[in-house]
Amino acid sequence: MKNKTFDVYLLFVTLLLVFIGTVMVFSSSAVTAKETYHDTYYFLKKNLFFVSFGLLCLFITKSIPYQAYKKLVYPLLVLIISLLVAVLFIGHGGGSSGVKRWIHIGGFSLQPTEFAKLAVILFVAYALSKKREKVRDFAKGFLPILLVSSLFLFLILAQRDLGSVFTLGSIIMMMLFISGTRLVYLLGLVGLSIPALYVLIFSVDFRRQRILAFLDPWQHRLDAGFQIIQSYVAFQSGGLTGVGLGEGKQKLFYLPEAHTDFIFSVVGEELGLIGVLAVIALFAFFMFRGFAIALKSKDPFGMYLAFGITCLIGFQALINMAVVMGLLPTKGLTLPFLSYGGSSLVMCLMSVGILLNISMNTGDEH
Amino acid sequence: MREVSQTSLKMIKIRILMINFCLGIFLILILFRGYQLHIVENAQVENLALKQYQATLPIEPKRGSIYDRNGHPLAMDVQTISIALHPLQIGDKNKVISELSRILSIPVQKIWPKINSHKKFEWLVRRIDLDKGNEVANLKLKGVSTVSEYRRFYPNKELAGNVLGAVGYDAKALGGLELSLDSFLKSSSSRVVASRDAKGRLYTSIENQETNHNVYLTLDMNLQFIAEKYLWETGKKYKAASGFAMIANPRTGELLAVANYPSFNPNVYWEYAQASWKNHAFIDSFEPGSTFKPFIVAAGLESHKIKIGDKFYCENGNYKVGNRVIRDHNPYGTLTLGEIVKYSSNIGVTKIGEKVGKDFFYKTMIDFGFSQASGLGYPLESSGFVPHKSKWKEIDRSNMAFGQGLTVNGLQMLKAYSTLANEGNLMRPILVGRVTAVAGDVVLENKPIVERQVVSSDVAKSLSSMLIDVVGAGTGRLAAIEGFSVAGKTGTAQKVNPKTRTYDEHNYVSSFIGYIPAKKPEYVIYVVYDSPQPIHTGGAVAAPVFKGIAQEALAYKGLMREEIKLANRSFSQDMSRDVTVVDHTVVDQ
Repeated sequence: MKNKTFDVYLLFVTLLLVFIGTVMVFSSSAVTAKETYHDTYYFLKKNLFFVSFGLLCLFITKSIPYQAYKKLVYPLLVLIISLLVAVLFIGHGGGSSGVKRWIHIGGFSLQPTEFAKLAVILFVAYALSKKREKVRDFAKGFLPILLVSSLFLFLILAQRDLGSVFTLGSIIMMMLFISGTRLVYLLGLVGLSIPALYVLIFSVDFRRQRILAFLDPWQHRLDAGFQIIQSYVAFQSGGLTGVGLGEGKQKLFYLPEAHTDFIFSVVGEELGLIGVLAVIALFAFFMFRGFAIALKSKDPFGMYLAFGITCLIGFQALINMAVVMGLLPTKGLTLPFLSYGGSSLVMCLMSVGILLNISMNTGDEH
Repeated sequence: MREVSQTSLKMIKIRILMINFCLGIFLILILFRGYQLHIVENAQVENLALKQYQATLPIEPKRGSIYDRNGHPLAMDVQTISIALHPLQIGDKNKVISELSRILSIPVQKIWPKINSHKKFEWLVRRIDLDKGNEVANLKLKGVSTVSEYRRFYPNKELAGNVLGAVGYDAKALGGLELSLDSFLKSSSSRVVASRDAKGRLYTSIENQETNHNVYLTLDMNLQFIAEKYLWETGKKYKAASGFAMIANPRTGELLAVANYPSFNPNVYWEYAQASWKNHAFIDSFEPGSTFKPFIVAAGLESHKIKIGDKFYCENGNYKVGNRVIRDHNPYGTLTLGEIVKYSSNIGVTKIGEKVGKDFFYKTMIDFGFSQASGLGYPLESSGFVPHKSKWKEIDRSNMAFGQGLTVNGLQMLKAYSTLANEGNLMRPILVGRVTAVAGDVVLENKPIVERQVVSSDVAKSLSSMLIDVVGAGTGRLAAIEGFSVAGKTGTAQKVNPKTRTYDEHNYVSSFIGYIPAKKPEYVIYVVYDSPQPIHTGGAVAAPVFKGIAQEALAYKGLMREEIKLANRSFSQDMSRDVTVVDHTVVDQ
């Protein structure tokens, strides 16, 4: 039985978020674009291209039956691993910490980490659905998934992208949790992760600075805490209704990464609490629909995959918002759909395509 | 197997809902945080925002212009460029320094400390010419920005400088009309609070802030020029301590020229001693001397205590009042009323004063506007001083009758003579004709106002004919202009030596005041010099200046033919050397 209708609401909320994102990217990047590239529309143009390409990918993945990925999982993993390894050697810098995360292909730069997230989720969903009840078994169920995932996490960590490691690691654990893995394993994993995280944070200077700045931003307002303090300023200036679209001042070089990681503060400044609530509500609705698709899916693979993808977008959005609002230390994560960034946008839209495919194809396991 | 699968699916669903619940709590946390950041006021954040966005710059918005009655600019703001450094952003310091030093001709060692400063913002130079500023701007040096600023500019330099006053470096009005009209001229926001980006660059346009007004004075630039030319020429020649010359329209009360000697150029006011900034015409109060005599006559005629045909015995030059002796320069026997004015007899006016009495004399002086502010509202304007009649001794009335023992300012004298020229009607003096908003709407207009009729038209006419005789054959002969009847009076008042507190033999206030044409006056002109040397009589020093100004003013008005004007000028130069007419002295015993 094939249910031909897909979740229109999910597509609608996605397009709405992408639209808000495009407007906000333009608003927050115009001055920087003019200054750096002598073209006010530089980032807008590129973003529109990414949106177009991303939407194309969305409609392609929407029309590919998601069961097909079962066969593609391993080749995909190999491809992504080679990209992740390649980026360590031929990667290019960017972003605030100057780490190498991009591969230049043609005229574009690709951020393999973004695609690795989707690939790992595909793999975990596939592995969990294949192993079924064996997931309760440590050696046969839990360990193989953990080892493969860990390989990816280490490769991402090699790019000094702890934020992505944390997000992806959390999503994997959530997927393991819903699959029925023994809680003891998960708790053990968490127990092992904490010292590892501690070492990772406090052995690297910029991470330690970020944590200290997170704990007392005013103390570090001229260096590590600068960005978060400027983010506070943006929210405070925005008030209830915002200073008006395009009227924000924080993007005038006060707020670093205004059009990428910290675009949510620009939303706060220009559109106020109302704009912030709207964006939060849209993400909440997105997650609600995403989880509904997972719940309605009659086969475990679709369920795990829909859940993983919803978490990938929803959880990352929550983390980004929490960071921008000073609830979590700065991580370098984008806000899905809104932040400027080709790889992230294309990956998110591809994921939505898969999600939409799952939504119209609920349970043809048999 | 299928059963297991179903239970397994059910468990998955429950766990998905659990995760969903957790993420929902996370979401609510974020919502609460959003409310907290947006709505709950945080003084620390607000202060930071204010501090970082606003660059309270010492830049003043554009100030309004001052024009003469015909719209010629007397004071205006011109656009200049100021160069600011953002030391923290400067890349190639050596290049920046060498370029700036080359274009601006500033020594390298003066630029160094500013470039090495740790401030976000530092002025390098303020208010330089546009072309040099633009040359710097065109280099697009990193960390160097140019800001458009205004500088006060007086296109006619010294012209009317002492009346206009000046505007200081920080755009504060320093005095004169700039100060008294400051509320009109300056923009309502006295400082530009510009917004800046995080790199310290300003992006608020300063042009937006124009709320100033333009002022149109009643002064006529050409008459002002004429008055200054003659005033300065003679002021220098006789080494006067100071002097002023004023032209007014007696029928409207409009001031057409207010010239001062010495003067200053408000463009570079700092190069002048403060003494030369003074607007003597409005600020000085002094004893007027014989130019005051017509007022006791006017008081007599208006009160009918004396009449035109009356004769007075002038005691052959010596007349004792109380324990003092009043003297005339030449001994006179019996003089008619007209002759007393014509020869400026001190004893004559003393005798008139005896008939008039202090009540009428005092009332007349107050009616003519003495001992009170003129109503012009000019900063530091004096109101002169006439002692109250209850405090007068006999000698005081006598002294005041010939203009000693009281003080006046130039404006009051001009106003009082205008009254005689204007059939007894006292006009309120006008210096500011109108004030317009930038858009052109008139926000203030001063129209001629008759304050009161001081004396009857007949009395005014009688006085005019006596004053015509003064110039025709009396002490004011050097003010005569061929083809015109001039009504006027000389004044040579001894000054009180501030050390001895007695009248000084050597320092006089020499003056001439008159109107022309006497029958239908166009101009009333007052010329005053303080302490001219070596000659000091009003008839010799001030009357020729009056003549020079009057002639050119008439020519400017189109009332005089060119050749007559030129002929008269050479005549006056020949005469001035030979004439020594002293109209009075009072001797303290």
